[in-house]
Amino acid sequence: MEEEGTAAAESPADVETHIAFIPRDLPATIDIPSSILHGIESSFVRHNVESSSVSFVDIPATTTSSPTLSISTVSDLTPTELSEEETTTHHDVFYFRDGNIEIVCGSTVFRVHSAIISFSSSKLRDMLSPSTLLGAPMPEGCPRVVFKDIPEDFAVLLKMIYTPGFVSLPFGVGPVY
Amino acid sequence: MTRFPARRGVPEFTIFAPLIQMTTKYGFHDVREHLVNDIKDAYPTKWEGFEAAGVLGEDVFGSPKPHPNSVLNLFLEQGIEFALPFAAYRAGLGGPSASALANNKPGTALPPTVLVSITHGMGVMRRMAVLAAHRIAYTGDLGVCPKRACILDASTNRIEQRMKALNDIFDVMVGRSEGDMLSPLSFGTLVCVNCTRRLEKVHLYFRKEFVWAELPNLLGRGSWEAV
Repeated sequence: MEEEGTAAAESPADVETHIAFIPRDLPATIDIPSSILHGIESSFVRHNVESSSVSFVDIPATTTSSPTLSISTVSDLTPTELSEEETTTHHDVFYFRDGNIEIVCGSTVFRVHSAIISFSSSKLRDMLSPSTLLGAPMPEGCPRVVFKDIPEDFAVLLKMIYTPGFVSLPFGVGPVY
Repeated sequence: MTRFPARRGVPEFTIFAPLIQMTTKYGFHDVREHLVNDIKDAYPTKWEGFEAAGVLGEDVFGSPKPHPNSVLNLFLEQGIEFALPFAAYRAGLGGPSASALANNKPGTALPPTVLVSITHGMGVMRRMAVLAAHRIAYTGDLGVCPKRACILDASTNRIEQRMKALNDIFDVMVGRSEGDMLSPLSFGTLVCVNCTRRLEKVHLYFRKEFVWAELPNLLGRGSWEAV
């Protein structure tokens, strides 16, 4: 129902005339090429504490232009030996006595089940395949590899892998078999 | 640790951020996609989606609410392009001083080029908002209301009251130009109901066509189509 007093500014065209004075060619921003933005290493990326005696598996967390990263191949993984001086601590939760592989992030040791880890991600499966682990040091009875990840972040990944429902995936979404 | 926690929506940011980094890195593409999908409504790319959204921006991560700069940094790092314009706007709301102060908190320092671009872009938007307020309030575009009871009626013996009402309308709009320019304004009872609706329509047009449409420019993306 038409109400009185609505004659003005009723149609978009009318409305536009109200603001038509605003110069549309104002320099809205400084143009930043996306290539620069993508190249920015944001401060969000935290860095691992490196040990001079350890050669880490170097897998950059920063994406380039595509969210699907081309990272972490078998050749990236080098089972390494921690130096004698290196002090490591077992992770509070993800150090399973019956685990069969140790993953070291920083100074934290995770002991997990290779079958479960490999079942979750083909990338991890490749990284932890028997051929890759051949010759890996076994300071505590099972192969030990070093990942260049922040322990807290890797613990979140393990929590997701080991905890059904940690991420509320819709039915049918899950590991690729 | 609970092995079977209650199913939930978007994890809090302290979990979301490492989870999306790790899932990207180790090829959990389904999980990553699901995490990104979870935030789509909170970082809309269309005006209709913005208007319909119940939770916007960093609020989607629940408590503790992350600093908008941290969220923007994560999206930049992870190449979550669709979310960048709105995330940049949220980061820009605090103004340059807030962004500078945020440097004290880990992960909140924006890269200099991004900070400059957002600060400049927000400044342009705020100046546009003031210009629009001036235009709407003072150049007669509100027209004359046929209602005798409305302060915008045609009678000439209430010029002072009319000017005061227009000043108040201007003040309301300028006040908002210093805050969240995308949210609707309340003009209260400054003018009659019909004139208030006209004001709201004009302001809606401004928010949609001059603020929302410019968000991609905050990071030099040009337009929503280019995002």
